[in-house]
Amino acid sequence: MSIRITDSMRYNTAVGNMFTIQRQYSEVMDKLASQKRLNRISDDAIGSSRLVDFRKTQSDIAGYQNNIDDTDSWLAMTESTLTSGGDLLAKAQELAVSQASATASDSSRKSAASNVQEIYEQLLSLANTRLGGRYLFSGSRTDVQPFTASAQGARSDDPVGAAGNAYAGQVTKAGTYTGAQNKTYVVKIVAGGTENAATYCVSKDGGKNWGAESEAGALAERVNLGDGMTMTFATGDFAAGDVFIMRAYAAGYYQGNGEDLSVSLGKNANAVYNITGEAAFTDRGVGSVDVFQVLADLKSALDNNQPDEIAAQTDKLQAAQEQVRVAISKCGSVANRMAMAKNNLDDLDQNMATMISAIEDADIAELATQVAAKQVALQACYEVAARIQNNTILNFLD
Amino acid sequence: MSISSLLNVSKDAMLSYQMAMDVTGGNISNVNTAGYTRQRTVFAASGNVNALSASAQLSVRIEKIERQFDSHTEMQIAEQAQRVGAGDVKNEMLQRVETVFDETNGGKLSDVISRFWNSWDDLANNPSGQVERDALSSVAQEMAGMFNSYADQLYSLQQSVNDSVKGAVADINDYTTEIASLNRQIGQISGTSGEANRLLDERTGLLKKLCGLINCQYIEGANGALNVYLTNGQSLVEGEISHELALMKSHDGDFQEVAYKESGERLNGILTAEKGELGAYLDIRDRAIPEYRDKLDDMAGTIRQEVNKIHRQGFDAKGNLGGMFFTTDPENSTSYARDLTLNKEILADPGKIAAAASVAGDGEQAAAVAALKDKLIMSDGQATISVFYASVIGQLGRDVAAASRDNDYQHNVMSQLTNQREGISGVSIDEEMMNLIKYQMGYNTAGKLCQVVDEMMDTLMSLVQ
Repeated sequence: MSIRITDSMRYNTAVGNMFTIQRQYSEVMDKLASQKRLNRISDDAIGSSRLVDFRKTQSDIAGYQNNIDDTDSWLAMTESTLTSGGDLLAKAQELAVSQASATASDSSRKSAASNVQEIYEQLLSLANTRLGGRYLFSGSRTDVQPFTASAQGARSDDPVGAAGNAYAGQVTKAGTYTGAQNKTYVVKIVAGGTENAATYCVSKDGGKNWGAESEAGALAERVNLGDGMTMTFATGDFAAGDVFIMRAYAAGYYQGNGEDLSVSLGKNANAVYNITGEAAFTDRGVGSVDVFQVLADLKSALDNNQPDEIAAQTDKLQAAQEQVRVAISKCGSVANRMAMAKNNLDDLDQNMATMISAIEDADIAELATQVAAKQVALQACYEVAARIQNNTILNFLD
Repeated sequence: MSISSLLNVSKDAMLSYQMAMDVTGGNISNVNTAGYTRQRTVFAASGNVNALSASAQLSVRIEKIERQFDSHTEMQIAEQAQRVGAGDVKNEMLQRVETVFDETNGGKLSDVISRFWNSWDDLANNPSGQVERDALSSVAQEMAGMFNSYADQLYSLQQSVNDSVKGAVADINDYTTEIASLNRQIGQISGTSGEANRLLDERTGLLKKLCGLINCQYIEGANGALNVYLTNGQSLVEGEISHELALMKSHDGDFQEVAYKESGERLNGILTAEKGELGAYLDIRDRAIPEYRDKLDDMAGTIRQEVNKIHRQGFDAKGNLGGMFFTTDPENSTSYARDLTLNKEILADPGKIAAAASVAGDGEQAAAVAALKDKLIMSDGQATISVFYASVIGQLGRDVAAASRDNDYQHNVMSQLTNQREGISGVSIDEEMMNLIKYQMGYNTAGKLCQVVDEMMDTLMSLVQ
């Protein structure tokens, strides 16, 4: 403090103090009004940065919860459909057992045959159940009806080019499909050009994994897909990224694929939520029973009055029920896992909310006290300012 | 000594006190004038006494009108003005950057990025859903738009800082011209006159303003001229001559650079960020804001690259291979944040979103994109997008808080120095009133002297009659 206290010093100091206190006052009022202690990033840099992370986690959690909700109805539908399917198979087995016995007659077997036909049709419609336009049991080809009404031999669709292809020429297939499973072959052009210059690679699983790139000019010859199938291209210009698709089906009823549908339940945690028709109803399932074939065989045995044949189907029907039960229990365990994950996510969400609140929410009681204190300080400041020039020598001069 | 010379003594005294009252009056009337330096009348006795010859010729005269100031304090103030100027700019500009990134209430960039990933998850759950595709397309546009808008806001902030640079250079040139012209006027007028004091005050005021703008040094040279130099020794004011700064087109960017006009030498290295508004403006424009823009570019560029990489391996709703998901407009731009856009083909037809890993139309590719949210794809595989952005926010918060704290501190130092200066150079009304009483007393007594001499003359005259 200097020796001379001049007038502007007094004013400047008073005004400076007033501004300081007013600013502090308005900061506290801001927090009180917004009920938040964090109104700008710089109010708490570390808090703001953690807030970004916590909010992201919260949003992730909401996404995972959403995933679980999306699969809830799918799982419930799958389980109830499979349960009904199991019941139908049990009924068919009952019929088979009763009609295999010596007491059954030709006519009773005939009428049982029509019962079995009904069961067959009901089961077919169950296996072709849709939820929101998507088939439950066709693997990842949810837009394709998984089961045909009657057994088909091994076959393949004609190859098609994708809609956006540059290549406009003809694609043809040759050969008989020998694969054991339904497959989707994809030929992708890697480097463009005429058939003598372009190169390609082949995928046997619909485009997920790719084989090695071919030599240039290999397109002029037959493209060997494997499992007895080939594709032939007419002359034309290919562009990189042109895609040609050919689907091949193993003998039987199933025309979906064996791929899983999955959702993410957390960082690096995925849950498969579908049961493929392949696993539940075909001989590629755990019981190795082609369910529809068994029913068809049972029906024809009943029609033809063949007790031995009927008895033979009884065991297969037992295995078929077992196969469906395995699928049901798999469904149940997925549902359990989902429920547990949902509980965990709910807890985590709660924790996040608490942590976010701890960072950004103001302590109202503390703020109220601060407001009172700042008010007193502000009043004192005004008092002093009002008295600043009360005493000068002028008061004492006549 | 003659009686009549006594009348002269009385006259000298009365005139001197009148002058002193004038100066006091000037002080009182300027009590609220910013930068005014109080002035003091310095009296000196004149004449001498010779007792042997019984002659005395004692009187009073005014030696000088003194400006009360401490050049060291003035120098400190000029120096501090540089720090305050720079601190103000840094504080204000960083706060404006802070409002661009304001994340405290949610709903901003981090939120829209989260929604973007979640939309991919939704699509993964229902890959054939038109609603999910539309939603993803619109969230992707929203996110790209948010990046664009952040980058645009930062760019327009740079532009407005560039305008401030132009303004500061114009002001600096004005001030140096005025200081040079004041140097000339001060040289012409004798150093002790009141007029020169006013000019000195004016020049000091200008010097402080100049120091607020630019990092410079000064010395008072011969014949009272104030010479101002840049830190590399080039002079801004030298006696009566001033040297201008000029704006030059920068080599690479859209903005102007500051140069010494006569040599054309660019001054980027000399104008430090800590001293003077100009240096702070340049630092904000060329370093601080570009740093944040680079970080945004880094994020937008990484998202673009990683999403495209996965997207191009997937199949769209019609079984075609996926194309680019994000592009930039113009196409080869590297200002990813400013120019990020959703691929026009996807915009026109969301069916082109490649959600499937196979031609079966599954959602695995969409799920793979959604999983990017937890992948360490930033900072050379050290951080996720979210962690990276959180660290940007944290850094910005710390920068703003530090700038604000530093600015408060610099202002405190400045107000202490100003008080110190006020203690020396400021006007105190009480003191001036005391002086007024003192000088009035002197004036009155001198008048009384005149009266007494008059009576003595009368006595003398009556002797003659």
